Amino acid sequence: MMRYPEFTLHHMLLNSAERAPSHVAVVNGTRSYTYRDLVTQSARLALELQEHGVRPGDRVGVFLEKRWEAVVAMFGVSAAGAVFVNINPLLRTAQVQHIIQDCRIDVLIAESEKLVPDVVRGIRAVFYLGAPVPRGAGSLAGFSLSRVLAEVGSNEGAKTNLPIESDLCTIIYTSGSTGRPKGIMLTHHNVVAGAQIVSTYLGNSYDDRVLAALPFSFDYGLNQLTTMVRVGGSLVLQRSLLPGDILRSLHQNRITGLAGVPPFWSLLLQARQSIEREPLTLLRYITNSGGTVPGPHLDALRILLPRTKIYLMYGLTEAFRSTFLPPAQIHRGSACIGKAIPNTQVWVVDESGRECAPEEVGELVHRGPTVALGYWGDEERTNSVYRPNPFAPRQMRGFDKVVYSGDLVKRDHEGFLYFVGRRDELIKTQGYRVGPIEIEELLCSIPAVREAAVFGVPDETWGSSVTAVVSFKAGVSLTADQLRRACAERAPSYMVPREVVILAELPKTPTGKIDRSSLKSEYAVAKSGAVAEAARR
Amino acid sequence: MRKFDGFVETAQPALPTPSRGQVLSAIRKFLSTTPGQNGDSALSDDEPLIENGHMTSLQAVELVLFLEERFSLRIQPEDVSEENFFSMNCVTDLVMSRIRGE
Repeated sequence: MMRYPEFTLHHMLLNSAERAPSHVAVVNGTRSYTYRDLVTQSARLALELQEHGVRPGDRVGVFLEKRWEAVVAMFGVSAAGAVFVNINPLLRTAQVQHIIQDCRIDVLIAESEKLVPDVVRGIRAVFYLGAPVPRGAGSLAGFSLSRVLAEVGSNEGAKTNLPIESDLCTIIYTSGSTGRPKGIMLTHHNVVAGAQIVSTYLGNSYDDRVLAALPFSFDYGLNQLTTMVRVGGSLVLQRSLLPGDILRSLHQNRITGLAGVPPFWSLLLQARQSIEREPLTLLRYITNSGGTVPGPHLDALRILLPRTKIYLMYGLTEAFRSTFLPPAQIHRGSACIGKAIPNTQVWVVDESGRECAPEEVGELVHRGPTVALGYWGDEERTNSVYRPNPFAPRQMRGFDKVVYSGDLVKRDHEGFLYFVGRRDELIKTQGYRVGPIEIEELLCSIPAVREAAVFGVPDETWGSSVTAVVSFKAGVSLTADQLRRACAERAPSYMVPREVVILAELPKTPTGKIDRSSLKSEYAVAKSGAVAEAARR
Repeated sequence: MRKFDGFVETAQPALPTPSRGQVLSAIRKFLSTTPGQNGDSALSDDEPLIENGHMTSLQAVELVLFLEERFSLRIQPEDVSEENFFSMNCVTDLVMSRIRGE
């Protein structure tokens, strides 16, 4: 029986702490921390934050590596009724500044070496980890996080400003196809619903030990933490993504659940021979989100992990989590994203707003408790993505907001959804509508190809011309013509890339996905350079 | 991604044993041609590679494949770790130990 109804992040934590206070909540390297530790230390931080002027609703930046203190920071900030903003430790100063200024962070929790002058400009107080931060920098106040967490303060037992479920819990910054990263506002209601829904269909329990290999600044990465806290399981923090380290951690920590994005699986598959020698018998499930796993990788994973359930998931930060494919349906292929998650409705809608027939491509529209509040400080963009439910009675339409995902999908006759591409990436060439994913899969089915990304380049004659950027496996390579010939053997001619760019490696976003927007802009820059050069000749 | 389709290792013709300096400069050369790098040859031998953003995990795996090819040796997946790939010096230590057949 749960002691607290699950309204906020804290209710989930307090329930687990009450049920089994000595159970391990977080494993950080060789150290383990219990649920009791998490409650105690986050309460200390919350009181200290309040003492130093953090008010309910204030945004507090958490700019930490993946470590125990980062977990405490999230729970501490929210126990003070404030909003935590996780900043990916891979981000460079300019990107960090954008986030800090955009949502007006004036208190930051970070490792001391990250607190360079350009980062702390405009910051009022820092809670640092490491060497004391020099007080010289203006009116900046510095507090040692380790001391705050270790010491029994004079205010122990005092009350903190606990939030209610309608309060903001976190802002997650995410890159769109245009402009600078936008902050998506998630309430406690959204975050709790996400944890309830996902932990339910994954069948998570107290016995689970999940590897946290993704950043907490990514909605899908944050979800491993919230699901484990909800069920009272253990989260093992993983910083290095090198195959040897992942493998060691999986074995030593007896990991039962593993979440990754497509490039993560290619790293894991590097250790294939070791896994064959010493199978991962305790690994109950793996989940993929953040992109489509190339078909050959998915097949390799199914063979390598015969007893592990594979869940293909789909979500967009705007709606936190959206669909999943049950493991028994995995044969439907890597582009299949399954059906709506529990307590959620998903439609496929055409351009006129009508529901699409089976096999017809349309935009995925999501309705349910994980629909976020919108983009921080951007009403216009919020209104273009968060729109009235088109299928509600007219009288209630404005009060029921759904998310227009911008993702193109199609539904088969059994109701399973398949990812086709981003709406702004759909390629219309020679009168055909082709999704980049289809062509990427085609390219990846050629044995020499390691990775591929495809996009359309506007072209007067063709509508759009199919452009592919590919990298090859070590020791093999093909010319652009050979690659095109290989495509032509496998697919209709309109799917064969007109232009092929060969790179040693495709650029990735900080969360490890292929960085499509930077690929496109690099291509555009290279192209305009070539045109200018041709004009000079 | 190559060796996971169960390639059989074939006997390599005897090559002159590379020196530590040759290994180090091969690693430096690989890193200078890696995307995202601006051919930074000023990188010190002890500079943290992954931690300081000079190399991603996927690039580390590429480096493994490159070194295996270049020096005709085999690096076990277990050894592709943060510790062994911390700096160019660490990677060189690993390669030298494989060359000596340890």
